[in-house]
Amino acid sequence: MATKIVEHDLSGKLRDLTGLGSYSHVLVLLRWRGRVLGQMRLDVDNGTVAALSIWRAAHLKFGGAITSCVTEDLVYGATPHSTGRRGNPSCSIVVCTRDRPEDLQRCLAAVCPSAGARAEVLVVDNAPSDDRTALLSKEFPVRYTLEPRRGLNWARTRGAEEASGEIIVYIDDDAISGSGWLDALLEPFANPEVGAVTALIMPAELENETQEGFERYCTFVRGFRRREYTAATISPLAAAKVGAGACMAIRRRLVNDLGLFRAELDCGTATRSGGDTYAFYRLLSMGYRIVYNPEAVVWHRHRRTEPELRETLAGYSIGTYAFLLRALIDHGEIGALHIGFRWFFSHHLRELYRGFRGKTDAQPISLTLAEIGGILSAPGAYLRSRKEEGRKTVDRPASAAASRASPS
Amino acid sequence: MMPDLSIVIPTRDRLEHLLLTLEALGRQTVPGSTFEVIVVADGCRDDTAARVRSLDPTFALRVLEQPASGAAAARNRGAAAAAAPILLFLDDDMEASTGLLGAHLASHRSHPGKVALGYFRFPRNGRDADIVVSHVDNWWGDRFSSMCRESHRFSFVDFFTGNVSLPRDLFVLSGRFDERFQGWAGEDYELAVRILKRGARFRFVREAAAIHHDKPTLRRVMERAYAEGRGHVLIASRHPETFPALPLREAADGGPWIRIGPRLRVRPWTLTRLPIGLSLLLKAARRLKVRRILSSLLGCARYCSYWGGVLNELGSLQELRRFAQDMPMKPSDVAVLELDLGTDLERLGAILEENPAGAAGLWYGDKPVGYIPSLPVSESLRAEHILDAIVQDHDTEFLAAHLDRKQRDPKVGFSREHTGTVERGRSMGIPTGLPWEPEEAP
Repeated sequence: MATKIVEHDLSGKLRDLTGLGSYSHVLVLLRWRGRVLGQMRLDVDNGTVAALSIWRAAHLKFGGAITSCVTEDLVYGATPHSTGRRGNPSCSIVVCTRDRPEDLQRCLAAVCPSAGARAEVLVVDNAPSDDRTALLSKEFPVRYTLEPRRGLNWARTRGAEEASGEIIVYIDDDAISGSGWLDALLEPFANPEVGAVTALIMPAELENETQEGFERYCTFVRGFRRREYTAATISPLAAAKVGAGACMAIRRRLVNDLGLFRAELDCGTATRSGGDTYAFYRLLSMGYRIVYNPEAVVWHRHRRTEPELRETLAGYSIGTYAFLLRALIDHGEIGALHIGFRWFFSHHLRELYRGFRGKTDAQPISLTLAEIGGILSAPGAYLRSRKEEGRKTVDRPASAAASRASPS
Repeated sequence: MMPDLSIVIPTRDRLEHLLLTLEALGRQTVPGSTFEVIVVADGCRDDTAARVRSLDPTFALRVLEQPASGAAAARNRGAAAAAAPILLFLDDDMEASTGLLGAHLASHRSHPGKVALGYFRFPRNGRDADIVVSHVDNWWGDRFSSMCRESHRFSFVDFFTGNVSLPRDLFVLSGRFDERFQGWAGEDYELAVRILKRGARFRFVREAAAIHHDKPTLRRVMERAYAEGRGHVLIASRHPETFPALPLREAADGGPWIRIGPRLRVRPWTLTRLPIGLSLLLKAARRLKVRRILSSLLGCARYCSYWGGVLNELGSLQELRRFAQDMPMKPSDVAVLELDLGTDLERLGAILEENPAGAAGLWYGDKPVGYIPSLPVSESLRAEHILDAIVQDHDTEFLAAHLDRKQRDPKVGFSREHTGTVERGRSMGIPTGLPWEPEEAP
């Protein structure tokens, strides 16, 4: 059982999808003249999906939105009106990677043409074990930087120090950029209160049960409506809701001056994730806006094997609780206790119970147990990581000590 | 040489902020000879006037002194002394960005006669924002975001005096600030009502940005809400048509406070004391960082203070009821324009220019498409308002009517129609007549 991912623009000519012999479903991302409407899942019948059934499903689910789009084309095409579009700010695209040249090649092949001449692309190679990444980078118009300290947040920080653009767009090496993503990520920065913009992260492939499981149990999709978050509208501790670090854009000055990416969090350390959530948490509690813009589409390759998936889910649990611990200890957030316990009872224990009861839509018990294991090891992991990364901070290279001006 | 712009800054005993504001005006992208600054020291008890006089800035700077008579009077005094054709009202705690004056001037060059509303935000210093500050900040941020949209319908509640420029003639002809608003908030809304009644238009200029060095504390927020309550009564009694747009309208709806008030034997003084108890709770909640409880408490405190102010101004609940009963809930004498979108859509801008209207009935041939209601004391409708209303609220009706017409006469279309997509089909809901055709099965 696998799902084929297709992207479809309803304003163009709709064709039957054929040659889907090995797939049982298709996941369609619907667009209208580039604008994202939403996603829908359809059954494959004899290796094909009829255009009519795509249309029927699209009508049922997105009829209102389509009407609105057609009307908009009609009336705005008919009447001269002013459009308030201004030029976007300068940006640098930073791809942090570690020993994954195949993924990186796909990523750069999509990112570099979309960046063109208006954005520089930086590849930050994080504590590599060989020179494959360095060699690969020569094939693309990118700037290659080596960050010897292992850890995704070291690499992100390094990327920000090396970058020259006003905005830094981070994209993971296992993600592929979709059409129009860069403009969609940069456009909200016209508002000076916006500190970060997050993207719609869709699965790039759902070839097996493991990838389906990832999309089902910890999807990166945060809906198809644009949202603006501030500390007044969402608790900063719920920062995971605003988006994921697989693709995000942040003002460079904020990354450099505020130390948003704490070295003791995220991949490559004992905490394994949570760095992005902490950065969003800081931005929200310092009073910045974060915009989730689903017009910026990025395709993420989920983990392919079962053990990888278990590891990833456990890593997310460790990272989330490490983040909550940091918020509690360093920022005096009593609410972190509340959120931590609530998530444990309402998600982990509940899924475990449902799994034992044999509910069909319950998360597999092995995954839930992996997550719970992650939670239990989180405090130890956080303290260990903090100690280790603290040591690395002491022998921080002089070049990294950026000026610490007040950012207002 | 006559300056292009006169900046009026009223101040009272806030020398530190004022010096920062003046310093920022010395760093502008436009030369110092193009503007003058008039500081009006309103009842200052410190040495503001002397200190400002001792400065030696690159621009013309004057200081006027007057006994304490309120910000409205101070702004009028400054405006009367202004030499330039454009007035910019700037608060004493607004640190201008380097492009602020340039942006204001550019706006008046490209859109003569319009009021230019500037932008500001609170400073961010890399530390956690205080919850009260972030609420006020968020409120302003949402307002500015809304004003950024082309389809925003400006009304009197969009006007504020912290960073706004307008032609001096417009200011004088509209009748200046009402000086009776001493101790009440809302002289800005009141002036905006008179400006809009003259048919002037507003414009939001994000580039005219400033940092607002204000620290809204709980006490200040409550005092402000109290003053607003009093001020709104004053505005509504002078301009009854504003009533439906003010929070006061709850009195006519019989909102919760007005209904339970008598049962609680609420007197004005109880309402004004209540926030003091609340503020203790708020302090505890702030220390513990329990944000949700804090924001509900904050809302509650503002609400109580606002109605405390209203009742203080009117005397009693009975008075308030009587006051609200006399108020119109719908704007009267609004010009309604009937538009046939089938023929008028292409010259919408010109039609609206010739026939200023507060409300519009939308038709497509003989089919009704929708109605755009009027907004209390707002600018007359622009093409962007109509287009936005069609797309957001009346898209189904519009499309159905358009397809219907098209079926009878396939040549019908808008000359600049870039889609060429809507071809055939009856208007049965949405799926017919859309751009694609399913391919026939082989």
